Amino acid sequence: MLFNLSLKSGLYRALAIVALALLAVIPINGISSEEALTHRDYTMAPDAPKTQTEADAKQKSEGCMSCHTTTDRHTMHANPGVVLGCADCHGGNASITVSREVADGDHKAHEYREAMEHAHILPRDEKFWRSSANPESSYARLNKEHPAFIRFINPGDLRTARQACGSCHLPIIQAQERSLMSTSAMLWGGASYNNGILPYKRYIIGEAYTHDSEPAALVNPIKADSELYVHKGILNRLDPLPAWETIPPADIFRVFERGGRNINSTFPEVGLPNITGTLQRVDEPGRPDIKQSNRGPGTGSNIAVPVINITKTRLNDPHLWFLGTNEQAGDYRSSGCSGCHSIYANDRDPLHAGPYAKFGNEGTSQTTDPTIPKNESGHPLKHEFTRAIPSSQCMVCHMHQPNIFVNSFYGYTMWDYESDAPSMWPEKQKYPTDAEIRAINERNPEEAAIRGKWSDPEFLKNVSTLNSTLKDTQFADYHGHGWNFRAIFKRNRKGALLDAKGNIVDDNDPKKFSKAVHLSSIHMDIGMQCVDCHFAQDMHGNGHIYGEVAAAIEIDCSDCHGTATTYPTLHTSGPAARPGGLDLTTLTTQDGRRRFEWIDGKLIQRSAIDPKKEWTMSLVKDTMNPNHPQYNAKAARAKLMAAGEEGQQGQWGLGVKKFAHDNSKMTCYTCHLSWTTSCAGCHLPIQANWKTERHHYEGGETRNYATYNPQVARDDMFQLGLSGPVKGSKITPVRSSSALILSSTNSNRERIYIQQPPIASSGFSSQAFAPHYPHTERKEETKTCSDCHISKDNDNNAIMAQLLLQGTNFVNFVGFNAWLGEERHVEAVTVTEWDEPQAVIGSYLQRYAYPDYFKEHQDHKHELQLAQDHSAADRVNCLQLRGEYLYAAEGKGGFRVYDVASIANKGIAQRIITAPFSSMGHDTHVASKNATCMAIPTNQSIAPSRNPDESTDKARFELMRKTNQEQAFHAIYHYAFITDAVEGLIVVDVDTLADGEPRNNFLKRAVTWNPDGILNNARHITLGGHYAYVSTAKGLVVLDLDNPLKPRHIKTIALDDVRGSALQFRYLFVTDSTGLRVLDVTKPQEPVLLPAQIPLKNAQKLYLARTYAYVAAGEQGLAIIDIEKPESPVVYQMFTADGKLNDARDVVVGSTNASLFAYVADGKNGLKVVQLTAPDTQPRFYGFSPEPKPNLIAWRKTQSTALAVSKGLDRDRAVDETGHQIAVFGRIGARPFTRGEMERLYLRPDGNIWTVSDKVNNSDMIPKKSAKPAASQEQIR
Amino acid sequence: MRRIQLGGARILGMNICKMVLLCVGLSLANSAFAVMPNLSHDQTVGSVNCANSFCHGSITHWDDSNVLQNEYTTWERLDQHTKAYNVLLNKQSKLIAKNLGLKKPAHESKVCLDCHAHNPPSEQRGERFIMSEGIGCEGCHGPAGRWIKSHTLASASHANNIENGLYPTDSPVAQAKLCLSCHFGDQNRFITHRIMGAGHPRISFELETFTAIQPAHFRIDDDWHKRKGDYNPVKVWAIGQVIASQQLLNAFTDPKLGRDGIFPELVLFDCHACHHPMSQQKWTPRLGVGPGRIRLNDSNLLMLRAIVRVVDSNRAVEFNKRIMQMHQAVSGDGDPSGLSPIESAQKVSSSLDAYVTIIKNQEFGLPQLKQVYLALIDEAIDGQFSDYAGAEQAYMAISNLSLSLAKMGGLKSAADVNRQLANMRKTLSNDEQYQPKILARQLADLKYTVSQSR
Repeated sequence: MLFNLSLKSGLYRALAIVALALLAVIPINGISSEEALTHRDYTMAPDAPKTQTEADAKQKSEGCMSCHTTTDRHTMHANPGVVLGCADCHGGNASITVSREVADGDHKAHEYREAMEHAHILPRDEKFWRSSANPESSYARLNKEHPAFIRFINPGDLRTARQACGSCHLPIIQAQERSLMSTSAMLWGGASYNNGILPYKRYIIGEAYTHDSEPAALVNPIKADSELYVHKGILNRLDPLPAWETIPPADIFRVFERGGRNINSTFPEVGLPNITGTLQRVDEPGRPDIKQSNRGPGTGSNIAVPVINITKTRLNDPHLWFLGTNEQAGDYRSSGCSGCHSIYANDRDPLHAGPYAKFGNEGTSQTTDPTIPKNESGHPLKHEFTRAIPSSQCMVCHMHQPNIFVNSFYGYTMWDYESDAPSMWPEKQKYPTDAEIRAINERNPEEAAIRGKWSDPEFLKNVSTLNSTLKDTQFADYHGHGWNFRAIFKRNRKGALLDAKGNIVDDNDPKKFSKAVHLSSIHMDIGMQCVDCHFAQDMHGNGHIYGEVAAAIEIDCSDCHGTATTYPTLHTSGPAARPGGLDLTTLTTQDGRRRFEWIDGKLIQRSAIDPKKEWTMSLVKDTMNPNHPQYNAKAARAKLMAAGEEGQQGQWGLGVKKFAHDNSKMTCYTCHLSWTTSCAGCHLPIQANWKTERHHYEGGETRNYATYNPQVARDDMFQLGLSGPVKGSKITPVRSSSALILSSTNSNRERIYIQQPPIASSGFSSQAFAPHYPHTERKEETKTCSDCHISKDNDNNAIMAQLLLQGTNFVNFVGFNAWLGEERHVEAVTVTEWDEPQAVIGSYLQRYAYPDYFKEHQDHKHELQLAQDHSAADRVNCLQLRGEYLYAAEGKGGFRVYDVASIANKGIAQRIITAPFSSMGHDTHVASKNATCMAIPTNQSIAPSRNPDESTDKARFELMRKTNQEQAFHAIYHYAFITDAVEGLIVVDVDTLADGEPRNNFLKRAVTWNPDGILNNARHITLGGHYAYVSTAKGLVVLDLDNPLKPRHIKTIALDDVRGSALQFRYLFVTDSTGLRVLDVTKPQEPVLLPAQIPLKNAQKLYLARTYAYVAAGEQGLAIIDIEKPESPVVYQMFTADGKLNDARDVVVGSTNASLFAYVADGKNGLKVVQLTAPDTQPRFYGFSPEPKPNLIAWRKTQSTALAVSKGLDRDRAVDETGHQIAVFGRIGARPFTRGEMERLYLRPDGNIWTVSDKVNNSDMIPKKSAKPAASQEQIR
Repeated sequence: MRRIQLGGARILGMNICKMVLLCVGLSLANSAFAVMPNLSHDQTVGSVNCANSFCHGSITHWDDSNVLQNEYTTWERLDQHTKAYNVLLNKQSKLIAKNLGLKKPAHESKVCLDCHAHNPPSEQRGERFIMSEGIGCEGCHGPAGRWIKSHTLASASHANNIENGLYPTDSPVAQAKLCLSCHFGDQNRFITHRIMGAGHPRISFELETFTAIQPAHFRIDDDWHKRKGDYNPVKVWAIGQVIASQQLLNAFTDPKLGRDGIFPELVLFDCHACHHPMSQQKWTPRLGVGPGRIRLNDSNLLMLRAIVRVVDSNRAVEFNKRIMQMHQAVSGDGDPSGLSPIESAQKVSSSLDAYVTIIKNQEFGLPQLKQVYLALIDEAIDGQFSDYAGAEQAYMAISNLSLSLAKMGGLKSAADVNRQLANMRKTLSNDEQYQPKILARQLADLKYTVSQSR
């Protein structure tokens, strides 16, 4: 279809040609409601005219008004210049008129009903579209209806907006169809790239429909070349998403390998011709029947699992092409234009909903139209369009915490199921029926909800009224998707609540939440709503197709606040701004006031939604001027800090040569954020037996469903990286962005893979990160010097590790099993529930979410009940789980990689195996004399071969490095590094385990290296980028593996009987015969042993989690050492669990929901699970590094003496210590810092560190040289 | 001969009167007698209703519409009328209100708001009317209550719109009356000497110049001509001078406006006649009224002198004489024909009516334009611009006419003229230090430059 522009604006000239092409229609499967559809003849009313006489318009309303009698705004428009009749927009038969008696009489009377049926346009699915209220969860059911009906119920729907609104608003409609709010391209593109489904960082998929609801492709009005793409983020085209059944798996999971002739497709509805599988029923050698299918990818269960999630689970759904789900407080809205411009009652907080707050949160109407029930949910407040759109309307969609930031703007994030658990979980454990589960998950995709009280909409809508009774958190009043959101408060690094002056608020103070600062955006606090910054274009798009949200934004902070040296221009300058920018002074509010105005040297902004509200803009330049009343020394120092040598000496002021924090180098919000949301992991367990609806395109029901389970949503992470060229390649905050782990349960309820992270298309780990604007701006609670540079007190080593994305080992994911290396075994001990929430057994969360199971656990005297093991050839002193493989150093047994893909599959007897079939077809063993330890450069799943060098695969190289702007992998990422007490260092290429080809899984040595026996008696290895720290009997040996095949000895630090080491940013902590020692490895080429020492009788391996070192201290138990100041560590606590923990050999720490746990390999005692923080023991559990309050909650004796525990999946590590990328970065051209970029934050050119203080020292101020008086604002105007 | 001339003139005068009546009859509905926006009984809806990007709020103009469609944007971005209200919030306005003893602050006082905003009676304010938008769309184009729905119709003609209450700003007379109603004052809103005394700045205005620098949010093109007829900036200027002169004289002759206690309303007189240090002698004999007398502000009449010299050359001498007599009457010497000052002024005023029509009927082609131009300069050489107000008008006129001349190809070098205009602007930059001799010399130079352009 081709649409010509009838409007004239030159601005939109470029958009004149719009191709909304029909694409191949995806076949419709199993639509259960097909039979129920009524076949009718529909007549589409003529397009609503741009102009007409009042008499003509009246004719098209007359009949309607005989029943509706009055409405709020007849034409929906406040502008009296708009002349429309009812049928102009809605269609229908306006000539049907009833008498007053009939209209006022019984509305069930025959005459009334008949008139109504003739006047109205009726649906095909009469059972579903029963009333004028938006039905619950309509999704793709809209696609089944004729456009005439859709236009009748909502003329603003994008399918019919061209007819109803197009004669005036066509360019906006065209832009809107292509905008991200309609296409959702950023979600589908990001999800498909980050999870390896499509290799295109220039996204190719987006949602759009034609007038009659067919899937549509969108074509950009102009062809975007590479330059426009890289620097403006403009895409050429978006195609519809194929059905999930046809999308081949991207995941390198073993069940997707070819084989499995005995396993038939379990999806008859996807068109398998041979349903009984009679073709062959015997196993073939080398093709074990645990594999999903013997058919090709994209059949049976051989599909990409995250796509099911996209099409069937409501994550960010539904978008503008569909109505809101209209079933929970915060879910009420219409579709298309009306999706935003008709206001619904969703939130009672005036800061969120402004003047609409008083209308409640249940989607009921205030209309004067007598035919609309006032107590029925799903009606707009009024029959009225407005530009005064409250944030609560935005929140209906923008609530998904890791992706969209109205939450953080409000100062909330997703609740973790743990804080104030007693109020949110039923006292008696719930055992929901399948029907109940389905009904709940249809409203709320969280599996945890099926057990929680909040699955009841009546409970849910009033959760915020619990606040006065709560101990650990405060809830928001919006609950779209059925979710709960907890407030973020100002805290110190240890988690204590702080008031506005920075004083600690007592944990037991009943008024603590009103005293502590709620970290909402300062913009919200002064009464601003989303639309006060995001004007029409940010909402409608500018007509180009974008794939990244930030690329489609035209506003920038400085447009209204100016910079340190300039006043604001009041012209937009963001990535999507038109040339020269939008002149903000031309904008008016809905009620007619100017939105921006300079008055008497002050810049006034007027609220877009509240006619009584206006505020004075903070002007950055004024805060720099010591003679100005707004002067702020702290702000001035930060913004005017000198770059280079001058700055390292602390000099600042307008007189310095060059600013360190110049706007060209970093964004305003790099500092002006009070907190950053981060979603360190989300579990999507697909289950085969749920017959559920697709929410997009053809709709209909198919089997399979995946719930959506956020795991660790925290507010204490602050990380930096570089944005892509679209955003100026500036230093910008980076967030952990919804890394997935996937599980699958087949139709026989066998868990065919569990908790597996996919791998990104670029080969990097899917533990995704992305540059990001947190929307948590505040004036006082901002980032300061010591958040990004080494502090004078040298107490922020962990903060720096986190900042640079090197990871803090705190939010690591241990998961369903703790993996142990033993004297003669490897073993997986089940430590959590399988159902959601996956509470650690014996934990605080289990106590409330699963009271019955918790009691059983008590009855078992805290003993864990489930474990799987495999015998090992010798001592397994080091092991690491990565993906479906367990890497182990087995002493005389050498190095072995176990296949643990089936670890939770009840259909498999031996779940830890050396090979899925004959060792002739798969051999992942490398013999060596005495393999004492091993290390892989990351425990995140990666596939370096997907991002190859030019010489290996030119086409793929072009795609990844040029088009997708990805960095290369460092060579170490191909290898595992094994220490052997005799042979020294053994290097083994393990890429084959991630290449998706099952037939080449053979490992062999690449290098064996031990010159002059310097690695004799090696027993432990730690990697820090391409440096290796090897523990030997005589000392710590530092190696450079920049060329992994040619290791280079750097230095050996003589120490007695080194047992293990662990690295955090600048410091390597080492255990030896004396206890704990510390090395300064700021310059790995010159490691320095520091005097600090913690004496321990028998220190074994150790683990660093933020500001604490956990040392497995043999009979002394677990030594918890405070390393906030790494050069002067102090013992915080020796924990033996009343003597029960007395043979500690190794320890790892990880987070589950809001709590921190330690998993200790307690030698002869086996595994010990220790809860380190819990809401009842440590109310400061939300802190960056709360003081641990260890509590032994579970244990299990292992098959043989426990020696080692596998570290949990790193979730805050995107790059290694030498600046090489590990995890995928969203946004074209964005990436973590290189080593050089990291060092600029703390190293002088001579290699020595410089430090910062957060205190302002006025004597460091260098005033501006010229004595010219500051320009007055009048001049600026 | 003289008699005959006079007699002829009388006859001609009568004819003119008839013609005027006829013309008025024709144009009554749509121009000079249109209801002023501030006096309309229609509902004011507020500029926000015009501001939509596909109505009049487009960022750029449309090529295929009969109006630019970015009128609102031009107004909002560039037009000082947007700031008219905000001026009332500044210190100076607060002081004026205080000095005047107003009961309310300036931004709430009718006397201020009447001109610094569109200030309809409260019952005529629509739900989105905003006083603070200053002189918004309806302040000039008239309250839109009756025409907003119909003016977008394809069938809507300019005449329909005017019939529905759109103010005919395309008519120079209507435009002049409207603009002058604030930029000078009329019986409904008038800036008195008391307001000036309280701190209000001196007012300067010239219709065509101010229309251009407003800046114009319309373009005179084929569409315009089709819908609204002829447009000649010289005529607008000239008619502006007639109406401005009349407004002043009418105010002078109005028993209410023209008096303040025992004094005449001083705002009608040349400011600088009084406002100068006592050590300075600021009078010249040009009005024949000698020292120590205050002079009616004749700046617009001075322009008319030059216009009449060209368009009605036969009676130019008579015209000048009439004005001179009025000055004499007003200054106390007495009208030689025995009329009272008021009668004398009335006589001048009523004689001006004819010139509206005369001017309308002029072509103002290149030769004629040049004549007017040179006539203005001759007035200077004649010493007529010895007062600042007149000099200022002359500058604006010459600057205006230079543009028209240039467009018609009547200037050899626009750059030279621009340079000279810039020098003149400098001469006029400070009204209190204005030196007529310098301007006269500059104008003589300009005359030379323009005369070369043949």
